[in-house]
Order: sequence, then C-alpha cells, then structure tokens
Amino acid sequence: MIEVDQLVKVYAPHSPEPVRAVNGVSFTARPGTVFGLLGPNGAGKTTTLRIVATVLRPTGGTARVGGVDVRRDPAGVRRQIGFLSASTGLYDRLTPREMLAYFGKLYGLDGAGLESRIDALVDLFEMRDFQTRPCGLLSSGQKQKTSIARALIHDPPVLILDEPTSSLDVLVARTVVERIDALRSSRRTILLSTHIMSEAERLCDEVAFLYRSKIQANGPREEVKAGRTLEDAFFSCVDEVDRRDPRGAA
Amino acid sequence: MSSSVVEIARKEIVEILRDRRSLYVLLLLPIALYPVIVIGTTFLATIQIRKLNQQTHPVWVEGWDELPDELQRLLSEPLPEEQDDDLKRGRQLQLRLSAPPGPKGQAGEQVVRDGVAYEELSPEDYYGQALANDAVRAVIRGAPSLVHLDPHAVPKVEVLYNGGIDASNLARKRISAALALYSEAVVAKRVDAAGLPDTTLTPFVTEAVDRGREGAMLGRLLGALLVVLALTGAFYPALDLGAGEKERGTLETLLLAPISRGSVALGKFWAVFAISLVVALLNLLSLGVTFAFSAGSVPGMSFSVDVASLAACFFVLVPLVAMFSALSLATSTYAASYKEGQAYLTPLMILGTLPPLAAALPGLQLNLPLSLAPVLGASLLIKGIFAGTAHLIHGVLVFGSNLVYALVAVRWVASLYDREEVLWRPAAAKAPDLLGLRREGPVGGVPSMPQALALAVVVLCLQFFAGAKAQQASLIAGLVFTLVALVAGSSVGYAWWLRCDLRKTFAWRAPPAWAWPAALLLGLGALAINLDLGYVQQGWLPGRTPEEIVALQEVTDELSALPWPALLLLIAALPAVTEELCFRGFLLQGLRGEVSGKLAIVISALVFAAVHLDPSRLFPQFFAGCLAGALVIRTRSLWPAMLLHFVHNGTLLGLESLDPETAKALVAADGLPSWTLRLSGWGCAALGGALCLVCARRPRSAG
Repeated sequence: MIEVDQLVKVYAPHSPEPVRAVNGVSFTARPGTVFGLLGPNGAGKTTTLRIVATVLRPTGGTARVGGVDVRRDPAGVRRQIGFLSASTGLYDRLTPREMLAYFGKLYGLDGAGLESRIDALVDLFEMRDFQTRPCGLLSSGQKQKTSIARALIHDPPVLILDEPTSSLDVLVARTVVERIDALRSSRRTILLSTHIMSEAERLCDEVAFLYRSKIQANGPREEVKAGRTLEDAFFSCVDEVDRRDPRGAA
Repeated sequence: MSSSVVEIARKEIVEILRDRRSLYVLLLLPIALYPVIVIGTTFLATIQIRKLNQQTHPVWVEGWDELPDELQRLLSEPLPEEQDDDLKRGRQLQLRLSAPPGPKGQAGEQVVRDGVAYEELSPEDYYGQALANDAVRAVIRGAPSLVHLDPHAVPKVEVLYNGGIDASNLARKRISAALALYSEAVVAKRVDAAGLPDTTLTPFVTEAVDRGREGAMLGRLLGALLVVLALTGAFYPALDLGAGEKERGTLETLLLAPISRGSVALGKFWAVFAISLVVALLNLLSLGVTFAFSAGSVPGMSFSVDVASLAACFFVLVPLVAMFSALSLATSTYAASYKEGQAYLTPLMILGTLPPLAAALPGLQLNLPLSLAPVLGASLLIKGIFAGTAHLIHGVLVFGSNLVYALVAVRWVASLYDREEVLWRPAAAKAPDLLGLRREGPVGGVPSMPQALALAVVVLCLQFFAGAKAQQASLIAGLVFTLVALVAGSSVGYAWWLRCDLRKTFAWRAPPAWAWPAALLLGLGALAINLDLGYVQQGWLPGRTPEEIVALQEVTDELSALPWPALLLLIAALPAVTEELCFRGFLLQGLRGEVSGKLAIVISALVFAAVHLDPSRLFPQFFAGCLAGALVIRTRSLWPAMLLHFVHNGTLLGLESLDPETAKALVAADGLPSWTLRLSGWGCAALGGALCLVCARRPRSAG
C-alpha cells in the first residue's frame, strides 16, 4: 500500500524564486489495484513518484510504502518498490542478463535464487533471443522489456510506473500496456502516472487528477468519470480550477 | 567494504573496459604510444644528426686565402675523436670552406645582375640573407687577424650562423671546436717559446664525479610526467561514471536500489581509482623502461632505474591517484552532461599539472612543509626518489598527507551524492551572461557566480597590466588610480551595467551594534596573526628576493614622506572601502548565490590574496580575506569588514611608525611577533570571534 499525506516539495527553497512542485498532495493506493496519477506535464506527477520512490526528499508531509516512511527508512521503501520510467535506464555496454544480475545483487539476491529469477523473467518477457546482446544494440521494445524485467527482479509488492509509454511508438506502447495489465495481482500495488487518458481508462482502478501541483479530484475511476469519458472528466476538472483561479491557467 | 560497493565498482569497471575509446586512451597510450614516441623521436634525431655529419656543409671565410695553414687544416679535416657525443657536438662535421661570393659592390650601390637592377647589400645583410636561405651554414669573419697574432692584443673572430637551422648550429659548434683547438695550439707555442713547462697553464686538472643517481635530469622529467599522467588517468573514467551516467539517465535507476547513496559514490570512486591506478602503473612501467632504454641508446645520455625506485614511486602515487580520482569524480558528478563535465574537468587537469611541472624546475627541493603540499609534495618526492635524495620522513609525510586529502575528497564525493540539487541539476543550456546582454536580470538582484568570477579575472588583469604600471610611474597617484578606478570603479560600474541591486550587491546596510566592536577586535587581532602566518609561509614558499626588498624599501621611503593623515587615508581608509566593495561586495555576494557561504569566503579570499600580486604575503592576505568575508556573512553588512580592514592596515602603519627600539621589541628581525604582541593580538581576535559567534544569528543570505 502507498499512503501519501499532505506531501509538499519545494525546489530551490532558499532562492529568491522557489518552485513549489508538489503542494499538499494526498492519496492512497491499495494492494490489488492500479492507481493512476493523471495530469499534464509539469503538474508534479514525476516529483510525487520520485518522493514515494525516495529519490527525492519531501519538503513537507509524509509518504509511506507498505507502512515504511520514506524519510525514516528510504532503503526499506526501496526494497519494496520496482520503478519504471519512460527512459529505460539501461546500461548500453551490459547485456540484459547482466543488467538483471547486477540489480538482483543490489537487491540482495544471489546464487541459484538469482539465476532462477532471471530465467523466469527472461521467459516471462520472451527475452531469450537477446538476453546476451548489449543493451545499446536492442530495439526500443526489447529495451522496454528489459527495463520492466529489471524493475521486477526482486518481485516487489509495489510497482511505480512513471509515464512508461510516453517515448514509445504506438505498437511498443500497446505491448507495454498489456504487460502492465498482466502484472496485476491481489497483493501488488501499482502506481501509474500518465497523461495518456486511454491508458488510464484501460489500466486504472482508481485515479487522481494532479493539476497545478495539487490533487483536484480523487477516487474510483467510474466515480471520478461520473458517466463521462476520463478525458472529458479531466478537462472539466481543469476548466473548473482555471475558472476559480485564472492566474495560473496553462 | 560492503558487497554493494564491490558490486557497483565491479560493474563500472566492466563497463569502462568494454568501451573501445577507453581502452585506446587508458591502455594503448601508455603501453604502445609512449615508447613509440620516445624511442621513435630519439631514433629519428640520431639518424638526422648522422645524416648531417655525412653531408658537406658550405662555410664562407672572409680572407680565406690568408687563413693560417693550421687553422685551415683544423677546419677542413675531421677533428680528433674525443667523446661518444662527438656526433651531437658536430666535431665530425665536414665543412666546405670558401671565400664569400659577395657582396661585390658597396652597400647601397645600384648594380645590375642578369639584367635586373639591385641595390647592393651590406656584408651583414648579405650574410644574414644567405644564412636564412640556407645557402651557407656559417660565415667566419676576422680570421685573417689570426695570421700574425700580437701577444699584446686580443683580436676577435666572429662566427655568424642561424640558430633556427640545425645544420647551421652544428656547423657553428664544429667551427668553435676548431678555433678552440687552434687557440690551444697558439698558447702551447707561446709557452714553449717562453721556455716554460707545459704545465704552466694547466697547474692541475679537475674531475667532477657525480656520485648520485645517473641521469638526474631525465629522472626529473620522468617524475613530472608520471604525476601528470597519473592525474590524467582519472579523467575519462570519472567523466563517464559521473556526468556520463547522469546524461544517459541511468543514475535514477541505480539510486532506486536499496543501497545508501554513500555506497553508490564509493562504488564509483573505487572503480575510477582502480582504473586510474592501473593506468598509473602502466605509465610507470612503460615510461621507466622507455626512458632507461632510450637513454642507453643515445650517446651522452644515461639513466638508471631500479625496481625498488619504481615500486617506491608507485607507492607515492597511490594516495595521489586516490585523491585525484575523487576530485575528478566529484567535479564530473556536479556536471549535468558529458560536455559540461569536460568543461569542468579540463581546468582541474591543467591545475593538477602545475605542481609537477613546478617540481621539475631546478632549485625546488622537498622539505617538511612542502611534504604536506598537495600534489607538489608527491612530485618532489618522486623527483627525489630518482635522484636518490628522498628521505623516509618525507615519504611518510607525503603519503600521509595525500591520504588525508584523498579521504576528504572521497567524503566530498559522497556528500554530492546526497544532494538533490547536484544529482538532478538540469544541464546548463545557456552560456553565462557575462555582459548582461540577455538582460534577464541577475537573480535576487546580485551578480551571478560567472559574473562574479569574471570580475575577479578582470580586476586581476587590470591590477597586473595597468595598476602595477601606474604605480611604477607615480606611486601615490598610481595607488589611488588602482584602488578607486580599477578595483572599486570596475566593481561598481559592472554592477551598474548588469542592473544589479547595488545595496544587495555591496551588502550596503547597517550592521547590528555588536558588529563594530567585533570588527575592531578582529582587525587588531588579525595583525599579530598575520605576522605569525607570514612567518609560517616562509617555510612553504620562497620569500622576497633582494631586488624586491630594495623596491619595497623605496616604496616605504616614498610613502613615509607623506603627512600622517594622508598616509592613513591612502594605506588604510582607501583600501578598506574600495577592496571591500570589490571582494566582499560584488565577488562574495555573487558567489553566495550559487555556492555555500564557506566556499564563497574561501574563493573570494583567494582572489583577494592573488590580486595583491605579492606571493610573500599570500597566507596573511588569504587569512585577512577569510576573516573579512566571514564578518560580512555573519553581519550581512559590508561596513564592519571595512572597519576591520581599516584597523588592520592602520595598526600596521602605526607599528611601522614606532621608533626602531619599540618596533624591535614587538616584532623580531625575522618577522616573528613578540609574545606581548602575540598574546594581545590572539586575545583580541578570540574576543572578536567570540562576539561574532555569540551575538550573530545564522543568516540565510548575506544580501
């Protein structure tokens, strides 16, 4: 489970022009569900996910993953999460198998357990043909498969996906969405950030609209949609916020 | 070392070694290229010299027909063999002697040659042209005067040659050797004619026996090369592992693993260190063998190196390589992209090569204080190892101090991996707006760091090129011009041009009340501390030369002729206002926007010390700069720093105006303050410092 409460992140807090990227964001993502954080670029989605993943420190508020506070035990949080972003984050001079072995060891796996886990992921993502080819020579689809396998090497109960299809072509993006859909399980929490509403419509059980660094709407997907498409619901929400405060309109 | 650190280091090394570019740069260069360069150039030089010796070189001799027979023989026939470097000294060079073909007429006279009218050249110009065109290798003038030598006169023989042409140089050496032999023959005849024994002019012979290591000069060069190459070995891996990883976007993935940031930093450090160390070892072996081999194959050169010396050098290089690996990695980590990393690392590399080059200069020897100097101590020690003059205590100090520096640098790297603003810093998209042309306005109304550093460079150049000249022309007017126009004028003018907030840029605000007594006490205390620091510096850096002391005395004499109030204004008040505006105003406030307060103080104090262009006062100037900078940060006002500066300079003036006996009682001839002065000074400084610490609340910005 991911619990985020009144999260605040200010960049360059001591400069004359500090940037409040996240402003009092709260939501809860439950096991067995896919929680979608939806919003335009610059709304604060990536910052929120990076704080939950302990890559960034919050300026205020709290975030807990599986009951572990991101400030108190960041390594404990990282043990529970798998993180995937649009940039695959692969080492060009390592092969997919070496990548998986490297991160497996960093997550505390080794020996026969690590080898069998790598084999299982290689089979699951159909990576046999390219598992020993340097990542720099892989196609974008192969890279994304490797990247997902890397995020799952330690079989994490929480998966954080930061716009995983934003830089992919339409065919690869469809495959990735199918893979994510297949990763649902009763014990796994998936937190997905995206600005592609069709993806959220297909994958998310619950959604939150993040706009101007704040959560503007939050709840089960059908409840938030209120009979409209998710995209219409989002635009309606954004228009309402801009009408209330035109100064910060996009 | 934790398993994650080892795993990260192992993976980084594998990645580096899989990069073909790194293999070329790191391994191929030391193993193959250096021997090829050194042996190849030596071989080519030898061949070239042999070729020159096999040729016949035209030499013109004025009065060729009148030349004494013996001298003609000495110039025409090969000289007796002396040493194995005869080839290099041109003693076997074959000369073709003849009378000069021109000039035919008088200088300036119009002559027609091949139907073309020329103005005849003077003999000097004619010979100069012939030598430049390589038509002749040398010209001997005045040789006929040697035919009938008058024992009471010393005629002069001139050998004209062109120093830019190797063959001409060699011909000059050959001719000089022949003339020297002829001179010896003449002397021998005179001695014989006088009925004196042969030993008259040679009552004894001397033989200098070098009991040190063979080839000290080559050892010196090798030492400098080894340190430079050891430092540059860290360049590529550090760039790839720091800025490269950030640019490739793989850093975030790594930071998501359940390991500490310190482990990530350490893993990367060990990888850079291991690769740099291997490169250093390869360089050591490759250059050591190459030098020993090539020196043995070149006549007149000798160089011996043993395994123990190479091992000792490697031992010295270990902490040095560690320190530079950490520094390079830290610099590279700060950069957001590969290109930016190169821009930051290149100056670091250039700075790193200065100490080894300085160590290679003659005269600089390793002593206890220099053992502690970063890079320089190690460079001098390696020079000492090859010269056989290194002592164990120096080795221990150099190794220990460099180890401490390395640990500090590693700690710095680890701290960078814990700073979000460094890890997630966006790549600098624009070049610094030094001229304020983009008119975006300095953030917060103060100059940016590049603008502050640009001012520092400008003031340094102005001081060097204009200030020093102006003071040479007229001391007092020059001083006023330097301080008012060059130091303060450039700062205020630049701030105005950049449309900075002048009050913020120059911290122009009333300080808290406690700041005044604190500044007074610190100013009084700084004097005694600076006398001590000046003394300490003598052990590290060379003091003033006798010429500088004389020049300084002349300045002091001229200034002492001024009335007391004018002197106080010129030496205390004016620098206090103008220099503080520049260094603790524009520079410090500009730096404060982008680096920590401590670093800003250190940088501004370094510039302050450098601008004074007086290496013998480097430590005191730096300390005074730090003190004034800290006061500005603490009080958020420039005014107390001005008072401190005024009190410091004013007290120094007061000390110099005391009668000699009192002054001597306070400051000894070697510059050390008396215990009375020292206790009162340190006491004042301690009181002033305590006042600052107790009364100042931690400011958030100095602006």
